[in-house]
Amino acid sequence: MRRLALATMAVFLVVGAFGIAKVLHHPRDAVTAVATPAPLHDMTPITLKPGQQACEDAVALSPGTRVIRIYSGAPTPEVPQLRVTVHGEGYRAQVLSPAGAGAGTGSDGVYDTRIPAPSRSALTTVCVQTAQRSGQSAILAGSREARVRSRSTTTVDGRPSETKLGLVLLSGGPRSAASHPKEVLQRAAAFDPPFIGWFTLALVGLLAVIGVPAATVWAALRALRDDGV
Amino acid sequence: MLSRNWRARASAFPRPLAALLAAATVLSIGWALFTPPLSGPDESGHAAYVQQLAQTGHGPHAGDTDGKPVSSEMEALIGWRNLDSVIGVATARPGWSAAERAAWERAVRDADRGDGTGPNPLAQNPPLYYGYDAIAYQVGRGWSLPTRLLLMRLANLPLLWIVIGCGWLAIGEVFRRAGVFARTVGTGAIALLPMVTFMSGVINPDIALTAVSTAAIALSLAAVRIGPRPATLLGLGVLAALAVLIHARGLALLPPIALVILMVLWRGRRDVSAGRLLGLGAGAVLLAAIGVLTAIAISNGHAGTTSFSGEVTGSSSSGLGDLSGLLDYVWQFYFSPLTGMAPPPADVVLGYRQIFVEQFLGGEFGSLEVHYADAVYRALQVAQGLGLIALVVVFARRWERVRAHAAQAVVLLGFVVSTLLLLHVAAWQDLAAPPHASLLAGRYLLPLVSVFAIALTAVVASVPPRAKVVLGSAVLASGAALSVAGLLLTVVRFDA
Repeated sequence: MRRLALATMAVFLVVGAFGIAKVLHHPRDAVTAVATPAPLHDMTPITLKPGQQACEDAVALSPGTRVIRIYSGAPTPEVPQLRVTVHGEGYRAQVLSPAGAGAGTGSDGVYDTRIPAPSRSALTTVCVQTAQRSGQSAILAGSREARVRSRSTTTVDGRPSETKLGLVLLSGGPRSAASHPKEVLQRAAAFDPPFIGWFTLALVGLLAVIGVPAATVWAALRALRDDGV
Repeated sequence: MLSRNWRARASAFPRPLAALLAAATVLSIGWALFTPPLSGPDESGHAAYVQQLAQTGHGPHAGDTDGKPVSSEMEALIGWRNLDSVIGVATARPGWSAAERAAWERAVRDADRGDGTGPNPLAQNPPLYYGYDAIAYQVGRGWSLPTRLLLMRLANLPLLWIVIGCGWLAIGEVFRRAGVFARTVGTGAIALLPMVTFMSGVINPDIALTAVSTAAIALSLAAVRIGPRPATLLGLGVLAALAVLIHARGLALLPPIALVILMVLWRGRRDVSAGRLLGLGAGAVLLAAIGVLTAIAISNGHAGTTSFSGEVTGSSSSGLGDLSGLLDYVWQFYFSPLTGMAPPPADVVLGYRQIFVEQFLGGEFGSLEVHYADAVYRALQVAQGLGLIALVVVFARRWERVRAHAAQAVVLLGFVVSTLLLLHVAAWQDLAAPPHASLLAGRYLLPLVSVFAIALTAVVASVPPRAKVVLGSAVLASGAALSVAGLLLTVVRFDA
């Protein structure tokens, strides 16, 4: 009977382990910070005529940040190119979003603009305007949804806007959690007391992943032994 | 001598229960460490309540007040570590960066800890759990707020152990000869139910209410077996008082506890003198009444009149006045609407699958934005459906045994009916009145987790031996796998 129990549990635990492995290896956006989340259900456009500028403050840059993602409110092949300016705490950069049509140009719904690597973490203000001084307006995706909240304020031409501009910072292309476990644990430890670092969290994680199934199997086998079967 | 006694007691402690307690403890610590501060269900409001109570000796207020919902210290943490942004939004991330940490450290330097006087929407909650958690807050008084919040989460561990221990006892009361394995499976269904350990890893009174409710169910089952003893009857009175002092949903425990006391007194009328019975009954009622009146006084004092009883009279004037609407809503919660049935007046109304399967049996973490794959919930729904069918078959085939244990069956049914009735009435009243919010959540079913475990044990104990081993092992392994997966999904959601 105990072998039967062991075999049954092994089947379920292996299926579980497969599911967990799938989650850990699933590629996700390589986010380094989210200044304001993208709209959830109701997108509110922020229209920038040539010369107009939308800014978002208190945007956290990390040494690993390479890309600023802004969402297009009207993704078509003819979206205008954006000029993105980042400044604050010793960092300054002015860059253009990728031109033409294709991934990250706005035509696919996102403007992924590469920025120079920051030397250290900094709180900055990110400003966006159309690259050309005349021509087409840029329509960016903002949100007035109650659930979309952030400490950053959005301004358009210096005036506070009720519509928050979705703005995310990335380190590059998508990657899985399993590809950078130490960084994941360091992030998790950022909120814990100083004496609980990433290594302690790794131990707790291992204890959960190995110890919980082991204790469960042991409990079942011991119970069967206590029952005399 | 003393150490020999202790050793004897330790060796008599059921080893499978010890293993399940250890597993649940690791999971609870994992949830406490890996869930960012204030990111659990309504956690900032609960934590703000504890902080206000610990700092000033008074709870926060609801409604129109001049203060702030959270203290300046907590406000700085929430703002600079991006903790408001992550609530319920899966694409948001907490602020991990060194720059945000530095900004928070600057902001928090002279920040007031005791100015979170309200408005706090949770001010209507009675103070018992918050007072309990305030002890952990005071222990960590000299440390930073995140450390105090972690200590407050870890203070839930004894409550988790009560849930699991009392679950073990409750199952043992119902199945005295079912064997250790069946009991282990039932208790494992509690200890490894992801929502149980998750809720014990965040600051929330639901785990305290679950502990008291599970203890009340275990004690009720014992009371109908052993008859009118002071410890059981007065104990039930104390548990009734504790339940309403933790949360207004604790009101659901009053009718079944009253029923149990009446049953016990009736069954003991031949063996115990009428005066003693009357004294015991009156004592239990008095204890419960003290609890209820204290809870009402404190709750209404902090949130205006009728706030505590709002759990039953609702936030609307129309709620209980529209009984056919309530019946229509309850029908549509469980089944497809019948012809002519009006849908509940809300854009999104959660039903059986969302509440019982997704939010209770499987679990949703963070602030309900961390999910398993839909296939997992589908599998759980099928398993739960099959389990319910099996339970009906077990009842039908073993009807004589069920009748022989009618008192225990009535006790369990009493807790289930009373809890579901209160939840549905409260939910309907929130739905019926503007802004027509659907406020029912799967974690509100946690006080019934021991009944769920008993039902599961009934099925496991009733099948042939080989099937029992396969079914029981499958339940335990699924619980372990789901718990670990839920924890890792949370890590990936917040930190990857």
